[in-house]
Amino acid sequence: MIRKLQSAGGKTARSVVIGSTIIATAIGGIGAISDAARAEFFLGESRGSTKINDKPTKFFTTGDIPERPALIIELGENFLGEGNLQQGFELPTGAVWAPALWVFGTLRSAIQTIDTGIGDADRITDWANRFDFFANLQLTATEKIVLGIRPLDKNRGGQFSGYRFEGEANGDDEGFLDFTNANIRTLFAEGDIGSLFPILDPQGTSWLDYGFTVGRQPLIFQDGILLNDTQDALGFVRNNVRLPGVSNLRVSGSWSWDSVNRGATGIDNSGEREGDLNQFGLFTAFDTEFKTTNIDLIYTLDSDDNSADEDGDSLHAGISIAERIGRYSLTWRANGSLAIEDESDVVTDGALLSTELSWTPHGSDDTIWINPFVSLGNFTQAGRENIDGGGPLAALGILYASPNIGQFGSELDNKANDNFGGAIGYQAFWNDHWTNLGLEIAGFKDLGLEDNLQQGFEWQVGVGFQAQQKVTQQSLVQLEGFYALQEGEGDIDVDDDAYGGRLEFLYQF
Amino acid sequence: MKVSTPQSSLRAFAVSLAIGSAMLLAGAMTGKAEAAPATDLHAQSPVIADLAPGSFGPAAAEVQIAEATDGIVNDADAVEEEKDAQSAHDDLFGESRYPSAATCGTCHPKQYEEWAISQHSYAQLSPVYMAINNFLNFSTSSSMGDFCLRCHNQVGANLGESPFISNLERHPTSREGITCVVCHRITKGYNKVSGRLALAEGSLLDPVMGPEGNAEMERVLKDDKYRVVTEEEELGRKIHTEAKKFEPISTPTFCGSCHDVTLFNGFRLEEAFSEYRLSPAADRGVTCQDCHMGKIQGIPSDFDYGPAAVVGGVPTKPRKLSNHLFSGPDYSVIHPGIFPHNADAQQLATLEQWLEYDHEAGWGTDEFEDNVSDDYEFPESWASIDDRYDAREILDIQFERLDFARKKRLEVLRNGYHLGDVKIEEATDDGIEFEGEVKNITDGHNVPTGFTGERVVWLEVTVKDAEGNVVFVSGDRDPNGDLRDLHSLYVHNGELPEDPYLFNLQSKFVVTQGRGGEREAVIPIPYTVTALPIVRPTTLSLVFAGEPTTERNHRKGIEPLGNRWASYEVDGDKLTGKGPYTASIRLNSQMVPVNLITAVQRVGFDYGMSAKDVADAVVEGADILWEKMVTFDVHNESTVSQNATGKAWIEGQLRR
Repeated sequence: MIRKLQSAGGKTARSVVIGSTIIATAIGGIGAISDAARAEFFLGESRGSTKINDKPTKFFTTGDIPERPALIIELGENFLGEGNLQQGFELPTGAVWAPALWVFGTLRSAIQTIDTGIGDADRITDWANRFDFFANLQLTATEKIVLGIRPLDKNRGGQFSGYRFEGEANGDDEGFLDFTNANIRTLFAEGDIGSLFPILDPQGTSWLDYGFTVGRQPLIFQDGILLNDTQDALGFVRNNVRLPGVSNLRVSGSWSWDSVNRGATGIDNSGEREGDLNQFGLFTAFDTEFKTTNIDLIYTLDSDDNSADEDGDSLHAGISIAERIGRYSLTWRANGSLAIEDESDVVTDGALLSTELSWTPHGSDDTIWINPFVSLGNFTQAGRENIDGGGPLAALGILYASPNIGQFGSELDNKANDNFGGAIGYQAFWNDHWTNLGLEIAGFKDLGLEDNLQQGFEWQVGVGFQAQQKVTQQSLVQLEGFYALQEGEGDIDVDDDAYGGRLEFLYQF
Repeated sequence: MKVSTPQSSLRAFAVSLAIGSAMLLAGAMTGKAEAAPATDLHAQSPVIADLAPGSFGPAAAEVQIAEATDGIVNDADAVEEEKDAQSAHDDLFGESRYPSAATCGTCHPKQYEEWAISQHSYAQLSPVYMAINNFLNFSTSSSMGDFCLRCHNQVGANLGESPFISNLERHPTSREGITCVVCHRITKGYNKVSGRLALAEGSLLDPVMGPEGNAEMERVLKDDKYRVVTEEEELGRKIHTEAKKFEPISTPTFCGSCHDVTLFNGFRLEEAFSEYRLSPAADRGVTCQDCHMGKIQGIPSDFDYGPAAVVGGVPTKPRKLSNHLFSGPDYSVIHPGIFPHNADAQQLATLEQWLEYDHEAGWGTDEFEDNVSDDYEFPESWASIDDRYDAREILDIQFERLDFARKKRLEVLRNGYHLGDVKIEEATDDGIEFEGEVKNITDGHNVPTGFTGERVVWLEVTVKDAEGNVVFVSGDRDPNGDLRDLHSLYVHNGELPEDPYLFNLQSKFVVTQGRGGEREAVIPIPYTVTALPIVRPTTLSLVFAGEPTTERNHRKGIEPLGNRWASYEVDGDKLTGKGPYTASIRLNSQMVPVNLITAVQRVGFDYGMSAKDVADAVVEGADILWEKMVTFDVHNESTVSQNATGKAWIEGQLRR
């Protein structure tokens, strides 16, 4: 029966895909698809001969493959490096620790300009820098402590060290910007109870291998749609729970007690973190023969009668089903938010329904995506990081996502507030996948069903591109650009189209 | 006997120095080789009794020193001499740090022979593994580093060998993969370290770790008839100073140190141990060792009883003996002169020379040699007909050993998988619908387990009419040897349709796309997200999240004691009217899919093999685990019987 459904679903999906592809071709001029003809056009590099190579080819060895790129600091033993490993020492718990300190990071530097076309806002052109710097104290393969700082930015739009050539943000005009700091962004420990206390189960035959984590850390669920925040949290996880017909069930639970940044509905995310609430999560993921399903629930307890700044309890839920039907990859998602009491600035009632559909043209590794969505009411995330990730639509299109550096936000508004829309895109690859080009058209329109709290646009439609080129073993450059047509509504005064471009250099230490 | 080349002689000499020092006085191992494999699946290794080390065991190294010396005298090339001398020094140095299995085999012939045909001993020699390792590093700026090497070749990793170099250039002990010291020179319980085991360095004379302790070792040391010594400078049969009791070696946790593989970015590649911990078998206290180191591969089957060692021809006291075959789904695709490990083969020729020996052409057989033309060009190494006959003699033994290994592989697989019921939903002129059940009959873990993303276990279903015309097929192969799934190049390139009914228990690696959800990937590198995929420690808690944000394994294995049903429909317009129709339902196993080979062929394969060479050998090694025949009579139901639905009869046929 399942296979029948798969087959039927495949036909339906194929029809949808063919229809959608016609639109993609008309708009983008790329990706003309004819499934029946099986002769498809693609932009990137060909996969080459279908027939397996019957001639011996050069065996790549040292010289053909570069040396391992060492981290900034490697103490104890090298990260994935050859040589003798430490014997370690045994704790009274029976655990054997062989500490190693690994320091690494990602340095990003971008020159970018953006004009949002909103009201009197100036075009902003800046050179912004960001350094995600981490120290990883590895105690065993399963236990570790991670410390992270971002010494060049303060996790707010515009608060990145660099130089602003034009425009104004946060009270700063043109000139050098210094936002150096030593604030701790990440500090958590994680491990496995069974590995930490082997003395409790020397044989390894009990259900003791519970994973745990505690501390300030990023939490991402439903691809960031439901939760995308850095919080002070405690979590436990159980993998490989057995259920009939299920190949793998993972169940985890969390409690966040501080540093929670509740999802905001406004165009400006306040970024104020709340320390006077509790958030509880229950997350499940399970694999069956054809599907992977995630069901996630988060409850925010923020209605302490003794607190003056309470914002109200809320319930957030998300379900996703990822599957491949024939050659088509599909991810169906439904995410919802519910204010248990009254709606407020940080929680409103709403649902976001979205689908991510993609496939690869025959003969290539290129990919085509069509990601429609509809938002009913005003969906709010359970938690949202100020800079990283962006709003709930960020996962659905390049143009909905912020590059997370400087004043360059997402090209299109990425909130799910009583609107519908989608993204259609194409990504091509060359040079062993070390060169890629993504093209996308995306947009949305207000449904007009709700009285949005702070809705900004009646509609937006944008086109954009994103190109990446690996430059050296540890660096790449990225070039992006976009142009968007838009019309404001409510208290947002949109005077003009939006456009922007950026060039970024990234080095991975 | 073949005369070794200078280069090979020096290397052999170096190895022999270490081996020979322990073996010159240990040559009392006698008896005639009886390597013929048992025909019974449950038969034991042919080497337990009357092992003749001259056949494939390490004692052959006794004669190496003299031959190796000949090579040195005849060598005039100073540069090569220097290189060889360095190589010999390296080999000797390596042996003093991590003794070779061949050294251990001197006194532990049973264990050596079992190990020598095992997947553990093949782990580093596999050209498929080598290509995957090199491709992953090629694609990730070498940031995968030694990750794969640490499980496949701990000695090589600890010696500081590059993960990328050919096996032809590796230290002899490094080529042994998961060799004796990888388990028996571990001094601490490291738990789930994904193979990153800190081996205790030491020569043969240093203590070893085992399950039993030192009592018997002490007795041997005190007993003059064994004539053993524990000092380097002493004359006598050198032996370990101590056999330390190491309790973790008998626990599932010890196996889990390699058989639960998680990358530093949180990607859960293998979860056999995690699955086991929640299994009914674990509840009952049945361990990994009970099922995989007993008499029968794959079920708790008790253990052999006998001497753990034969020291100078004198056996030690009988005790429980664990089996070191560790049979599993993998098999060798390389030249039989190289694998299984065979001291005679190593003595006769170098790896490079073995690769030149064309056994498929019949070299060394009367049929070939009696008819070969005078102008047939042999490589210099094999110009001598005597050498070719010597090689053939060795290879005949190798083939028997490989055949034995295959039988044990079938044993463990058949103890894991079962082809259950077949249900006939419809059998009329309008079409045939039926379902086949595949069961996991183990209660210790999923099937497949371990490297599930590349284990192919599938149903091959062919329906024919009474005249033999095929009216339906699923689970068939494309011209490359792949199943017709999305990873088949023929399907990917649109030259063949996907198999809509394919039942395959292979898990699928899935990578996150820049946008557009996920996509299946043969090799899970998230190049759609970044042009610079690079492995660094995870900066969010992936113990908690369970997987990285960029890639995961969509697992499709069957849970312990669980089952899955495969559904098939033959349209009425496909039926020829020439019934009754017969369906052949086969449950097959293949260690990796061909598309894995095509996916990594960019970086080439070791031993000068082409992708097709590797793929053909992979396909040839595929096994039929179970088969059933079903007959559908679409016109006269009354002739159909012995089926749960009463519409067909089913004939179970076990192809043992």
